[in-house]
This record gives sequence, structure tokens and C-alpha cells, in this order.
Amino acid sequence: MADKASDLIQGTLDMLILKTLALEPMHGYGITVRLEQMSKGTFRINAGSLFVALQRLQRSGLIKSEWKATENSRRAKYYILRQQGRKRLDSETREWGRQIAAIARILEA
Amino acid sequence: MPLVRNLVIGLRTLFRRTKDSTDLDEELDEFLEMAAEDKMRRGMTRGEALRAVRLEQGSSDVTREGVHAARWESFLEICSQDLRIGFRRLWKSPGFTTVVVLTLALGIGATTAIFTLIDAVMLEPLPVANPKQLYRLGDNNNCCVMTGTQNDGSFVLYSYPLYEHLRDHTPEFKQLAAFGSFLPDLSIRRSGDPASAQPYKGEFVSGNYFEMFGISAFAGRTLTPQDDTAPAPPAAVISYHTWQTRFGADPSVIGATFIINTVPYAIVGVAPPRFYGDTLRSDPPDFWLPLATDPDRWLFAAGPEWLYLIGRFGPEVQSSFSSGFGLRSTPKRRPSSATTRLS
Repeated sequence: MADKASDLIQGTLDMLILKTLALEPMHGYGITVRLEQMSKGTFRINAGSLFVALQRLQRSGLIKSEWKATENSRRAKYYILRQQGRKRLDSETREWGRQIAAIARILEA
Repeated sequence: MPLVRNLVIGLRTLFRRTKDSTDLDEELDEFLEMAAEDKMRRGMTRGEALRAVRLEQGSSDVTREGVHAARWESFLEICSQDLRIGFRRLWKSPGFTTVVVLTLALGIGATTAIFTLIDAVMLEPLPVANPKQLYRLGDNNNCCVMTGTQNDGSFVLYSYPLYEHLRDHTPEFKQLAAFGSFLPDLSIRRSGDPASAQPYKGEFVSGNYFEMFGISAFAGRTLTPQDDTAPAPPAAVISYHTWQTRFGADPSVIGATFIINTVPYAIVGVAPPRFYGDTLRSDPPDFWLPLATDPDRWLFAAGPEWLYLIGRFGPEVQSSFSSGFGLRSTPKRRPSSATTRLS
């Protein structure tokens, strides 16, 4: 189950992270928890995949990061969606919908 | 734009590696700590929680490596590490290194030398205008001086009167030039120079030789048909290479008087740098002299044949030639009859 994330298509993980950050800025661990909750335990992202994806998104200018205090008054790096990231999320969501519909049509034919 | 950003971030990471890796360490520690606390809230002891997290998330070293490896600049790091290891190994075995370096140096050097030669001899075009319009009259490489029928009808040497006859009666040639089939040794001293005369190679050429090749002088002028007449004062052209290597590119050479085989010649010009004469040879001529100044008796006698001929066709003639009919047949038909008639 822990390796489930590697079964995801690369673009899918990026899209899911963008979606999570669209709600509010969040630190790495928060993102995995949120993804697990929203997928009702289907997706568990491990730290390896997560940080590689975060680095990739940050380098392509879709998200940015800053150190902030957590609720436990420790320090954590929070990731924030940029304007460009929001646009990318919209377009990827549309594209995803199109593909899902197409695949569904094929499978139901 | 994302490309530039990626480049900038990558370079920054490369030069501030420690700060970046402490950042990642801290973030990763925080991640694992949060995961462990979550599990403790669900009733695990701290020890159990930490073990469970490690099982779930795998080694944090592997995670760190994964993040590093996903960056483009890590490729540079790996390369520089490999290079460093490579150099260290070479340094440790100097004998092997010397052999390798010498092998490479000799190999590259030899290849370069061979290419330079091939380039100069085969690839670079001749430094003459439109070499395709040039035809040599003859079909062998006999040299020097001959009389009568040459080699069973095969023919390449011409007497001076035959050259004149061909030159004046072949309108197809825009230019037809003649030059000695051998290079005489010359004894040359600059007029007024107290040093003794030096040996050089010379070539006697007709006055239109340079014009026929379409060659203009590097400095001064080339020989002209005017120079190739008996009353004209003797004139000579020096090769660029000789001018450079034997006379230090001295500009005063042009216009100077040289005593060539006891006859005073005016040096009227320097041939262009890559022109070494009509024939590829190891001892190209140092000086070109007009045929009219050749002291040998063969010059105006009809009998001895000692000249090579090269002519330039006009473009219209050249295109009308097919391979079957050409100049090769001209000397074959002409030699004996023409010489007899002229003599």
C-alpha cells in the first residue's frame, strides 16, 4: 500500500498535489494526510515520491514554499499554490475529465 | 520561462549545496516527526510509532537521494565526481598515464598532419581561376628535351615554333601558355649584395603563363607577354614561399635587380601565396622567368621539343567538348607534320 503512489501516473500525482494546495497552503506531511483522507485511504504517498514531486512543481513555478511555524510551534515548510499552478490545475482537471470519459466510453462499449 | 527558472534554481542549489541539503533534512525530519506524532495520538508508544513510520516511509537517506537525483544539476555533480576520481587514478599510475597521453598526442598529431596534407593537395581548390577550363596538351609525362617522334605517337613535348603555331592557330583557346618541362638550377645573387650567389630553382614560362592561369600577383605584377620578347629587359617573378622564407618578406625585393645566372633581372612581383607552379612537386620553382630570356639554344630551333603546354578554353568551347573528342587528339595528329613544315 505504501508504494501505491508509484502506481500513479506521474502527472496524476502532480495534479493531486495542486488540488490539495488549492484549498490552502500546507506542509508536506499535511499533503499526504489530506490525499489519504480524500481518497479514503486508496492513495498513500510516501515521502520519496512526495518530495520529488514538490521539487518538480516548485521548479516549474507552479508552487512556492516558505518556512512557517506549525500549530505545535515548530517549523515546517509550507507549500503555496501560485497563479500559474492554479491555471495548470484547471487545464489538467479538464484534460483528465476528457480522458476519463473517453476511457469509460471504450470500456462500456 | 520555466526553463530559465529551473536553470537559476539549479545553479543556486549547486553553489549553496549545504544550505539546501540542511533545508531538505529539516523538512524530512519534520515530516517523519509529524507522522510519528499522528500514530502516537492513535495510541502507539513513541518507539512503536517511530518504527512504524520508518517502515512506511523507508529510509530517509533513500528519499534524500531520490530528491537529489531528480535534479538536473546532480548530473553535473556526478560528472565532476567521476572526473575527480579519474584524475586521481591517473595521478596514481604515472607510467600508464604517460603512455596514454603520448598515444593520444601522436594519434591526434598524425591524423592532423595527414589531414593537413590531404586538405592542401586534394581538397583545397587550385589557386587558379576556373581550373575546369584548363587543358594540358599531351598524354604522358616525358621530360626534358626530345626530338622526332615521341613514344610511338604518344606526345607531350613541344618545340617553341610549334607552340607559337598552336597558340596562333587554335582560336578555341583563349590562352595557350608554354613552360619548360624541367626546372633549371639557377645561381642567384641580389645585385649589390656582397654575399655569394645561392642556388634556386627556376622555371622558364611564356609571357601569358600567369594570365592563362588567371593568377594575379600578391605584390607588384606578374609576367606579361611584353616581358617575353627579346628586346624587353629581363624580368622575373618570385614565389611567395621563397620571398617569405629566403628574403624575409622584404618589400624592397620587388623592383630590385637580381643577378640570375650572370644576367641582371628585375623582380617585378611576388606570386600569390598558394601558387607553387603548374606541377605538384617537392622542389617547386622559386622564380619564374620569361622564355625569351632562356639562354639555351633550343629556344628558337624547331627540332628539339622541350615545352609543356597548358591552355584555357573559353566557356563556350569547353561545354561543347565531349569526352571522346578533345585535345588529346590534337597533339597526336599534329606533331610530325607541324614540326616538319615549320622547320
